[in-house]
Amino acid sequence: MASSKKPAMKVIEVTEEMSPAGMFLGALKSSRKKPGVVTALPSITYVRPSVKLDAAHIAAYAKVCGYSEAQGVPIIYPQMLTFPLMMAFFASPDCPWPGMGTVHLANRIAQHAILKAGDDLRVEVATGDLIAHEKGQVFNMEMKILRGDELVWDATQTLLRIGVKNPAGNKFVSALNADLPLSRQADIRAPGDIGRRYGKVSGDMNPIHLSALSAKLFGFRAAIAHGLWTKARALAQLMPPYAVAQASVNVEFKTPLFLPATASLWATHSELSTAFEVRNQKGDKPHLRGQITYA
Amino acid sequence: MNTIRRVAIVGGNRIPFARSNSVYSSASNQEMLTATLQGLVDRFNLHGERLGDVVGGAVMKHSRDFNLVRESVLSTTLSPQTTAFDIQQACGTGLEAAMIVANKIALGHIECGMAGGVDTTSDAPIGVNEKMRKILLETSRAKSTGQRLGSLAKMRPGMLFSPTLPRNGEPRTGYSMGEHAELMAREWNISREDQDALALKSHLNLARAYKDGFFTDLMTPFKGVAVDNNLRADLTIEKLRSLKPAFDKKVAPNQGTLTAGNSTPLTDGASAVLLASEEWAAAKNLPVLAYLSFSEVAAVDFFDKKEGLLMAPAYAVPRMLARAGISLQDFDFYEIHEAFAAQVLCTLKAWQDEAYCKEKLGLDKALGAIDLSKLNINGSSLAAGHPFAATGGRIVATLAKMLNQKGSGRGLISICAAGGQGVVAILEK
Amino acid sequence: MNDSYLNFANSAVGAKLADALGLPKPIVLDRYKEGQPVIKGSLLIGGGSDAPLLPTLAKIFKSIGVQTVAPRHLPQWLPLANQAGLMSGRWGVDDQPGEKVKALVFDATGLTDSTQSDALYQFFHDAARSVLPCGRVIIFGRPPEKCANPRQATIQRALEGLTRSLAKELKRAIAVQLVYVAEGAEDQLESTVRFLLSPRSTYVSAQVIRVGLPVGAGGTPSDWNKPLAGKKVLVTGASRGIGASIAEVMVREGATVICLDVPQAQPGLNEIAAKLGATAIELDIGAADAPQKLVDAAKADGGWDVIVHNAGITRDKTIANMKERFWQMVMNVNLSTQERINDALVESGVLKSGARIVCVSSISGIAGNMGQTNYALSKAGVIGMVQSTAPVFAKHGVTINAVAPGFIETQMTAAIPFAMREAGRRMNSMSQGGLPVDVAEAIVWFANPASSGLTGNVVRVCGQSLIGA
Repeated sequence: MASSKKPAMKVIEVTEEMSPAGMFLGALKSSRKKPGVVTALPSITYVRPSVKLDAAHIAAYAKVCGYSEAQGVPIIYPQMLTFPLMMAFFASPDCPWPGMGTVHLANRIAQHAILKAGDDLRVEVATGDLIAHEKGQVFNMEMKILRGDELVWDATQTLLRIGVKNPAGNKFVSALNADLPLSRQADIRAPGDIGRRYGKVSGDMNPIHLSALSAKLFGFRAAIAHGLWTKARALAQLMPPYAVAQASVNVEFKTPLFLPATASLWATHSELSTAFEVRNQKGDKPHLRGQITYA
Repeated sequence: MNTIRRVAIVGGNRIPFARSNSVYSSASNQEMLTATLQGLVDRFNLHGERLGDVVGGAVMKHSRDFNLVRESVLSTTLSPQTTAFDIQQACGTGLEAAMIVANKIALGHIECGMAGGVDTTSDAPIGVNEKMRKILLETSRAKSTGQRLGSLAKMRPGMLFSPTLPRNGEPRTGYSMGEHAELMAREWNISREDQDALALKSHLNLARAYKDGFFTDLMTPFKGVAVDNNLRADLTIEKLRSLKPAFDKKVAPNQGTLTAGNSTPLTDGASAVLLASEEWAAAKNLPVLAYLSFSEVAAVDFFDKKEGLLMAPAYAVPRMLARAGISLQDFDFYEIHEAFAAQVLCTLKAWQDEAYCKEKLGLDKALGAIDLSKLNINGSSLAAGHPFAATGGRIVATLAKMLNQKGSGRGLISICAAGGQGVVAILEK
Repeated sequence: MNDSYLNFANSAVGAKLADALGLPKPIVLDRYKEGQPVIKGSLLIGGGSDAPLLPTLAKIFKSIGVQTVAPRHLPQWLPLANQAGLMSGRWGVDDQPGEKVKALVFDATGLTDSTQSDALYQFFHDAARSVLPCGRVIIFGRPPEKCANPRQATIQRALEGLTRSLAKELKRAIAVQLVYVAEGAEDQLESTVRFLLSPRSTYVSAQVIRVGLPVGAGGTPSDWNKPLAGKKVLVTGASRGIGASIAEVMVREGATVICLDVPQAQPGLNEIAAKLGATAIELDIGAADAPQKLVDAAKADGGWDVIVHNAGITRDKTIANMKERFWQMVMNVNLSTQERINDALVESGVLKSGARIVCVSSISGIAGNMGQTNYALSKAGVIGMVQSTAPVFAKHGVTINAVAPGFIETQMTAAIPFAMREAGRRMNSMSQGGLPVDVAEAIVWFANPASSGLTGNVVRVCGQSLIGA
């Protein structure tokens, strides 16, 4: 699997199913890491060679995120499949930083074909570039999903390790236009238990999402909605009421959404794209900004 | 009578329009129409005068108001010998009434007349539950006390608690007017931004018109109100953007573009215009603001052929233009009733659409675009509000005054109505 | 200063109790807040069959932005109003009274004979129950003394009786005034109409105001919310009470204020001057050299535009018990000093054409009061001074008017024994005392550059006190 141009790439296959609690424990153990200066991530690809799209799990996910059945496999759903690989990376010595204290900064997803329950997929997560950010070290994780030889889905997860001094890489630049005239579309209700419900479905049982009490242990005043839930919830609202073959979504996470909350969804639709923001109820502070592009 | 005469618009009057259940919540249709007609009588000193006819109506009407216009006339200082009758063509009522009076004048059947309309959704007739209605009718038909008690015994408390409220929905599709407009906006790909921009312009234009004193001789204060209370002179585009879609649930879940800001609210109000032959106006030494020269109506098959419910004016206008022998661009003013910002934008877009104009309207080519700086320049329904039957009179009076101020010119009126109908007219000076 | 009965009678329990016991139920008076419209609510206009003032009124109402309605007896109003760019309509349909209005205005200037009074009956009979609380009624007439013939003068004089009775009947804090406008003085009316329609005149009722031909340089303020912008105003006795309130309201109206008081009042004076960003002058105006000092100060300041003679003292005793010193002191400060200062300022030319002098008289000067022979003598003298100097100063383009406060809630009145204080408070058409600001509002009305038609007027700010009616 080694690429011809890049230096030899390590490939790790993850086949055994991990329990969510086990994954979280691994991440917690990793919090003892104390890295020195990091100039590049080791070139590693984590792979799940065969994953079957499970109709029941998709349905459970769709329910928590507000998708309708007609919308098919949500564009953001395949990211669920990458989660065990992400946890494996965080728990491994190859990841220089602990899982805890690493936050989602941005997320780009491109879907190239309609996915269906029962599809047999190969899921890959590879380490990507380092990017410098005023708040710490940003690093990309590159995700790919293949159905046979066909690339059906790929994504870049941009994460920020807060507090790293003198971060390596080029400067982080926001890819999204913040000055578009958006109109309020709807309210998004994020109930107090949404962190637990989404955690159950996604396997992301980070205590900062689960309850106010557990979040306080980690220094937050209340539980925080999963960024990927907020994104999924907004997309459920904004994307057409049928399955879309080709689309891409670019999202930047701005501020945490403390639970419970009523957020507002703002957007402007043009022929082939939709720019959107999830804001607070008043509509003056963005939690998340994004852009959907079709075809 | 063998000649057709020009029909003069002498003047108009209306009371300020008010959002439903606000300042006019206790006013009845008859009170509002009477005040409006009286204001017109006062303005042109028609006390004791016998007019040829007064035609008008209301869309939402109590059964006791079967003779609404005549009753209103009797409450004014017009001669009690003035005849009057009610008509109803949804939002087209006011303009249709003007057309009826105008036709009578044109043919020489009458010399002068008033046309008006009124609506209240604050004092709307609330129907009793359908089952309860049948029981009550049965009771009233009963011949003996025993029968009467027997049918009354069928009443259930629940019937009292679920009265049938009037709604401005289409009986055939089950969709509300707003949902139909949302469907049209989707079909014509009308963006939320354009709709909000049109709504803002309507408010700013109406506010400016008030500031310029444009309405001083077109309005009568009522219940202590002198300005349409839907008008937001300080409206901003940001405020409009912050409103949530209002009609998307059934027809375009989460993709809605129509909001409370770019749709007209339920409104109470009344309007009336005074029409006359030129001879009559001259004899009374009254002004002629403009002439009502052409009119046309159209309807679309919104049920079987799934045409846009509010697209009928798109059909009516080219037919009228053909009769008048002019093009869509030959106007100095366009008064297109803003039931929804989307309705206006869809109509304008349809006229520019080559395929639509050829296939649906049966034209050789597209009608083309209009100069938007001539559109609703003193505001329209989005800002003033839309008491269904009163909108026609408001527009006729407003456009007539604009033509009079300009001295000469031509204006187009286009009004869409429920039931897939459209009523349009040309005013000239 | 606190009228606890007013608060009590407006509480839920208190209102019931006041009803049950037949006690007066004072209404919380509307008072002007900066920037608010002149009048909230519509105005019902009436008039005789000949109503020559209507075109002027239409213009003024347009300028004020008031919405009018007219009864069917006044068909000429609608075209006049429309011409003036004023939206107007009929009040009442089918001979039924129309909606409640905030003000009634009746043009009686066309009445020339006592047999024409029916129009007054019809209008006020129909409208009496339709005025909102704190409403306003203005009747316009022609000054009887200038009428062409006795019949006209008689009916015009008769309007005073109607005005005062209406003020007592309408109650609910509705103020009623009679404005005699001289022929040719129609253009001088706006400041007076604005004042009388607005909450600024809340404690002025049953007054007769004469508006005549303009005196001196005046003009319409470019901003009616700041009519005194650029004007320099001297307020005497400004360290507390009514004087402090006058200074405050003058500043609100855009004026630059010079606060004057005796050296003993220095702490209060400095405090108020600092608060208002005003200049402070410590001066005993009773002193012989005070007029010259003021002339010098005014010259140094580039001239003054408005002089408010508010400083006054009381030394109460029945005349049999009164010491001569107190007699002289009160007369000197309250009257003679003002005469000397006015003469000096006018003759020296520091008061230019368009300048205003406003004096503070007192209801005691009109009605007389036990134990106040000296005070009443001086305050009645102020009225005499206003009336006698008005034609003299008019030649210099200077107007002079006076306000006569009734029971005003101040530290001074707080010292009055309870029973007397309550009598003073309640024995007026408003059933309550006024506030210093009510006096100040009347003074700034006289000071307005658009008030050139007002001179020689004495207007009481007393809520139509029963005393001295």
